[in-house]
Amino acid sequence: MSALPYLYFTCMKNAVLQLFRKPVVFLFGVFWLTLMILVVFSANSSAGTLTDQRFLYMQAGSFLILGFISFSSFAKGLNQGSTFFSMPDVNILFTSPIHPMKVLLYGTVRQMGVSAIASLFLLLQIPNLRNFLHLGTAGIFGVISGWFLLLFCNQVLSVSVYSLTAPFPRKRYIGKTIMYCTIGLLGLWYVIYILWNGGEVSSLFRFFGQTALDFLPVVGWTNAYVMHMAVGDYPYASLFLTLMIFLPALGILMMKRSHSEYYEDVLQTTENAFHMKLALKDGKASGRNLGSKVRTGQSGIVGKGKGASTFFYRHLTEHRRTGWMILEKSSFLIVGIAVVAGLIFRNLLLRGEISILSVEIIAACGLGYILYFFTITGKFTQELTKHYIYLVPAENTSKIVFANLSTVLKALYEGGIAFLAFTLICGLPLWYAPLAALLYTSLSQLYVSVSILTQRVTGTASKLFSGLIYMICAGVLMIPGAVLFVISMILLNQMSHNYTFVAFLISASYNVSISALVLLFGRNIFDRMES
Amino acid sequence: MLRVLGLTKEYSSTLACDHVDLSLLEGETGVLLGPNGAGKSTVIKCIMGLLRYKGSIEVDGHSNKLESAKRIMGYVPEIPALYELMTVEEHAEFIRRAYRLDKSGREYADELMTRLELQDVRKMLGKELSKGMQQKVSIMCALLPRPKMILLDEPLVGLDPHAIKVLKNLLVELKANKTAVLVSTHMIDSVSDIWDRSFIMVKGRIVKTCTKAEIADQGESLENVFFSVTEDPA
Repeated sequence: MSALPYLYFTCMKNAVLQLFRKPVVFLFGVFWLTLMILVVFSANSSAGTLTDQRFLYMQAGSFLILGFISFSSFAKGLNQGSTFFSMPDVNILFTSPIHPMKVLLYGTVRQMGVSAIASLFLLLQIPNLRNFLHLGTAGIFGVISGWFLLLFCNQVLSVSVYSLTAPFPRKRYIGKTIMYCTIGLLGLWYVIYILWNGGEVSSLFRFFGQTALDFLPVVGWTNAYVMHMAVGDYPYASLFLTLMIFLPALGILMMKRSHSEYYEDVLQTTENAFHMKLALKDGKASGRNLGSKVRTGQSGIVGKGKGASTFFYRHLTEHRRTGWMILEKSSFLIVGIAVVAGLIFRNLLLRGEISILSVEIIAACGLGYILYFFTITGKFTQELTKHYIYLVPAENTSKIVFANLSTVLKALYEGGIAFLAFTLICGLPLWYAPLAALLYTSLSQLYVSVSILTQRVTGTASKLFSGLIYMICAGVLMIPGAVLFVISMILLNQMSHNYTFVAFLISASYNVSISALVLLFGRNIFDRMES
Repeated sequence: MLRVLGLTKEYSSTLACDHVDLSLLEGETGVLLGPNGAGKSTVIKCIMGLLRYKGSIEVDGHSNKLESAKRIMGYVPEIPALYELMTVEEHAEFIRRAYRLDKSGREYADELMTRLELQDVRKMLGKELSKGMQQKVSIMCALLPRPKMILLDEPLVGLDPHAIKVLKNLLVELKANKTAVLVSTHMIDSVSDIWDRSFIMVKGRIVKTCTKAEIADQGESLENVFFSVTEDPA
């Protein structure tokens, strides 16, 4: 076996062996495998057909998700660079007498593997795809393979775009201009289309069904492939599949033409990624790449605070430098999701396909669920990875309060804006916005308390073990509150819908009490970095 | 063995190397000295063919980017980074295959592992090793193809005193075997007894080149020469 296959298969073999060497990793693997098998086989295979309405929603949702991922990937490629090589590749592989083209092919094949693994989580969505979208087996295959192709295509194109433009600032400028102009033109077209159709709600979704959009590289192709697979139109699906395969192949060929010069292009990005990983291991970084758009000027807050409150002011400064006031990019994403969800639910409410009670429950639970993913990388969790909070001479309780305060405020503002937009769009009772925001904020505290409880239980145990415990703690702390919320909503609604606001207060009180209890018992968390 | 002429490397608006000329003969040990940010690592990376540059670099008469040149070059990077999912001996086996070494390569790998005290960890994965151990594996990988020229970028950082002694002995042996060695460092003491020729870099330029004999004739030490040059580059 020659060197590159040896490298690839040895790493793969060792990755599998690792599963058996570490009981926690093995259990985790078995857990996921069982879950996937159960999900795949338990999905109802005769769950109706894909209606026009659902098709429209799926098409629009799919286009927006794929568009967002592709835009992020291209923007990263043009701004910071992208790589599918690792630091050992640079140190060992790039300096060896192996032809650069072979090295490039090796990187590409490995990236395909990474994209395939990243697509596996979609298997867990099979029941949702079947039950809510009524997709058949071919449609589900289309979604999963389309997702895989998009991830792979984006990564290869991101690397090749960077490689082709990095040495030439003018080319990079042209690349960025083309990208932003395309987005701008699409936005303009969208607005004109809606106005042309008299602002009808359904035109918000019908826009994405236009044939011209299918020919938008990568995003349009993938969407067209997925949608044609969903309706069983295989010849068209094959056409777009061919385009999806052709483009990354072209990117690789263009990189090949640069001979070994692409080494330099990926070197810087690979080194940055490696240093970030090292810093993460040492607890010196949060794992969030702040990119180049960090405003370093005075924010009016620097230097404020004493003792534990300095953490709060530092968080405020960081928020101002990387976002807008206390809000971050994730806040805008949450508000955007609330707006889009609002438009969809408004349509369903108008058609009488869903009750107000269901909309209220789904929106509160849905946004609360999304918040979970942003809170686990929030300021408090980041603070725990650095040594400062352990060393500052202040009361543990005040450290917890101040290290948490910015998270509370952010959730309050973010939830307030998101639920206000949702309430107004859907025409829900006005009390819904502040109470749902309150519930949302209380959930952010519950998530933080899950982090604290996990740290208390696992200490410096492996990340995987901590991850497992995190999931268990999250379940133990959150499920009672969620059940309490849904049951009280239903019961109170049976008396009168006007009373349902009490359910929000009950659930928020539960979240706050449990969080306070965990924070009280976990306040010694700062006594030492390891438990 | 190594001939670098007019090497110039620019990153955006920063001139990392400015018309660098340097050469090394067979069996000669050169040290590339300079303060932080002088451009030492950039020179090493350019010689290893990892960066674009202006100028010419030849290794034993071959352009440095050719496979024929890479076959006779060894490289110990500033930051050791091993494949996390490969054991120490699998790293050696990979190098043996990549450089198309015959079966004697395995015996040599064994010998190097013994000398670098890697025998106890030969079955351990890259991610399970300490930084110092990773550096030793990195050195083993560079030495395994028996290169005619080896470049070491800050090789002593992270090594314990015993490992430093072993590495110095290895460098002396390489010299005896006519291998050209270029060591980049800012720890002058660490190379005082192994160098033949020094290149002192400041702000991307080589401001002083001297041999050990020249310095000895002047009754100076490398350290004094370094400070006289770097503290007053004009």
